[in-house]
Amino acid sequence: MKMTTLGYQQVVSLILLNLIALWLTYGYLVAVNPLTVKEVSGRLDCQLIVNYPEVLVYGEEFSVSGKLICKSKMRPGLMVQALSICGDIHTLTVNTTIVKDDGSFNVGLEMSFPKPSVSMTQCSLTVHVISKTVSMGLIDKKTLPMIVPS
Amino acid sequence: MFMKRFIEVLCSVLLFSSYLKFLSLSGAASVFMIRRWSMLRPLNIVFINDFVDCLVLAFIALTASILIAYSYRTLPSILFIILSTLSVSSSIFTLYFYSAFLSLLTGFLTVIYVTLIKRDVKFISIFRSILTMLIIIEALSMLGWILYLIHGGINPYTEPVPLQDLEAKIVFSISSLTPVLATLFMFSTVLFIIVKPLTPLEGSKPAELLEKLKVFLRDLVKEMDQYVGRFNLSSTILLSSAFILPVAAIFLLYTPIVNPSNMTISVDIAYYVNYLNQLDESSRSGLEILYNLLSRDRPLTLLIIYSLSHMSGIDFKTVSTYLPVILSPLLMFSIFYLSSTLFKNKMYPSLTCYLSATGPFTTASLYGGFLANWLGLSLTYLSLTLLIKSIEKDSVILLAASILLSILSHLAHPVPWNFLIASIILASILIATDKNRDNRILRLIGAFIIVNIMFDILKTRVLGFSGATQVAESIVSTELSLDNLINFWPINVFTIYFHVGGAFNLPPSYFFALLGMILFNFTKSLKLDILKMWVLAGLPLYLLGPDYVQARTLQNIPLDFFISGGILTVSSYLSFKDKISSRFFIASIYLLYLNNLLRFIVNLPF
Repeated sequence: MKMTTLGYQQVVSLILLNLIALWLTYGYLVAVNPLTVKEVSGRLDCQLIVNYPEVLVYGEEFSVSGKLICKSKMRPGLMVQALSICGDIHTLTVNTTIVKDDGSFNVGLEMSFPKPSVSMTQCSLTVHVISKTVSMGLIDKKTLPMIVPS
Repeated sequence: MFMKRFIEVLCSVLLFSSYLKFLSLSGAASVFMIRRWSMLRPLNIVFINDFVDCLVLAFIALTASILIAYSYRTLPSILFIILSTLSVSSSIFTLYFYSAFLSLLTGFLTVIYVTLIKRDVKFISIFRSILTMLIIIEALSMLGWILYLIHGGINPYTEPVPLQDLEAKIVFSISSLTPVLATLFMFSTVLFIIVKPLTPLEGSKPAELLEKLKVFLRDLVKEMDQYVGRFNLSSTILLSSAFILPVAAIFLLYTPIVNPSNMTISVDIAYYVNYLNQLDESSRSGLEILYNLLSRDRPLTLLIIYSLSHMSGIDFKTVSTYLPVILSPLLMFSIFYLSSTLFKNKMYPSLTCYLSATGPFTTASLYGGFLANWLGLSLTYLSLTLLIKSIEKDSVILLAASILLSILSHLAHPVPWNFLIASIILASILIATDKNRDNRILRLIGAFIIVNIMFDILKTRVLGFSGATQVAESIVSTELSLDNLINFWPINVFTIYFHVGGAFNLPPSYFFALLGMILFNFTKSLKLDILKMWVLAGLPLYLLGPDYVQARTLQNIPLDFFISGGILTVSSYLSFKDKISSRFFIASIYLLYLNNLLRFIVNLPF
């Protein structure tokens, strides 16, 4: 049987290739990790009901309340994050609150952005249910008018 | 004949659907951008309910197994019946995951049995059936996005119909491979050097296979380089879509259904607008405005916005928002021009343009509002095209035009210019170290580099303005670090999944880019060497940089030129086996990228 010998170049190549393969495998494991979070199974069998204010007034605090109605037992550690954006990307306001045992929540929001030059603009409000930093996919959204007092 | 065809279709349906169900029940999740929020969503796919889905799949597996047993009457076919019966039992006992796994296993084994062992069914026929299913899903998804654009809703993936949800989940089911494939692509030029000493022994089977691959790739390159005067239907559709779709996307982004609060989508637009407003308020004369603009690292882009705004009487924000209506066709033109210089066939440039128009470059640019980068890259590609033409025709006029365009790209944005100069320097080192070097080429390239660097020195060191090398120095000294290399994977995974809304998370792109790199690597050509060196120039930034530097690297390398090469490699291979599969493959790529653009633009605003 014909035998072949490996030169140092081949040995170095093989070592380097193996090291790169190991490094890439580690990369794959890092990449796949957030994708196998079992707790986000999407089976959060709940309904999200949100009460929005009728209208927003610039400079005045407002709150978004609501309830999470679940068929099974309420999962602990759930939070609600409310986000408002009025007219432009710079006017982002966000706040988070813990969902109580009975499923109710109340998120207070204040507008910490410069006064708009128009007398009225539209604000988009988004309410997310999150567990730790992971969104559970339950979202509610509404566009509200915001009055800017003169 | 009918039985064979029936088994073929049944096996393909089983393989495809059981993969989806297995994925769904494995608890896997992926990062989706929903209304500008990047969030982890489970890849759960339910057609009716888990019980019915799994039971139907198990019965498909059982039917396929029985048909195979009836046709061949061999021992392995009995094993398929046992496996599929176990799958039926598992679904009855609500062990859905095991049921899906057993159905998938049966699917794999039956396909291997009929294609590789019995050789009664061609593998290409199975592939064609799977492609057909993929095309149907992609087409339905496109329909879903279009319906959303008409009707609207809270969650764009599921409203008004959840057609688009399934397609997105199929694409994102392989997203965990994206960081690895993207890194492998960035690393590929180095990998070829590492692999070089491992050439197989002459006369061995691997050597034969390698030779066959080389012959196939060389033939493909010849075919791609054959001049065809007119566009065929595919290249016409691809090219016209490349020019129309991004422009349509920009207008769609500001329709009331997609963007009810009329928010400014692109992040960087605010910086352009704020700066130009300040400039307008603080400067007294036109000369002062010009001086202030020149002192910045992207004066040309700012000057264009400023001039357009003043000439039309439209405010800076509106001009900046709709500037991509001009920038995108300009980029398409420059990509078409450069790729036509690389390969004469009309399909390659048309496909490259389409991939750029609907792929990560455009989606990332729309999210970030990278207007200067958009303009800079267009000018850089045009400059490179003219440089290649000046070398081919030995023309000083073309060289002068190329230098002029590169200087304009320097004035448009520092990053593409830095990449261009770095890649040309690396390519010139390659030429200089070649035994059969052509000194004429070196002289032309040398002149190009020297004039560009002198211009940069004049702007940054003599006049003291901001400029390309200064920006590069600042990034190298402040942003690149060994810490970033140690934490490379978490940073890279963040870049791919979350940066600019996960615009770079399009897994098939990097797979085809790698194939394209293999194709280009077997082709000895200065033009392709420059592209390879362009990728190599980005490697240190990619390995040592934080997330935004990694993202800017992916944004500024000619990725789509490689992807296009990879796609045409697969298409050509398929065409060799079955012409219809090749056409189906291009159609599925077209729809995949179109869905990528639609998915992204619909989810960009809150």
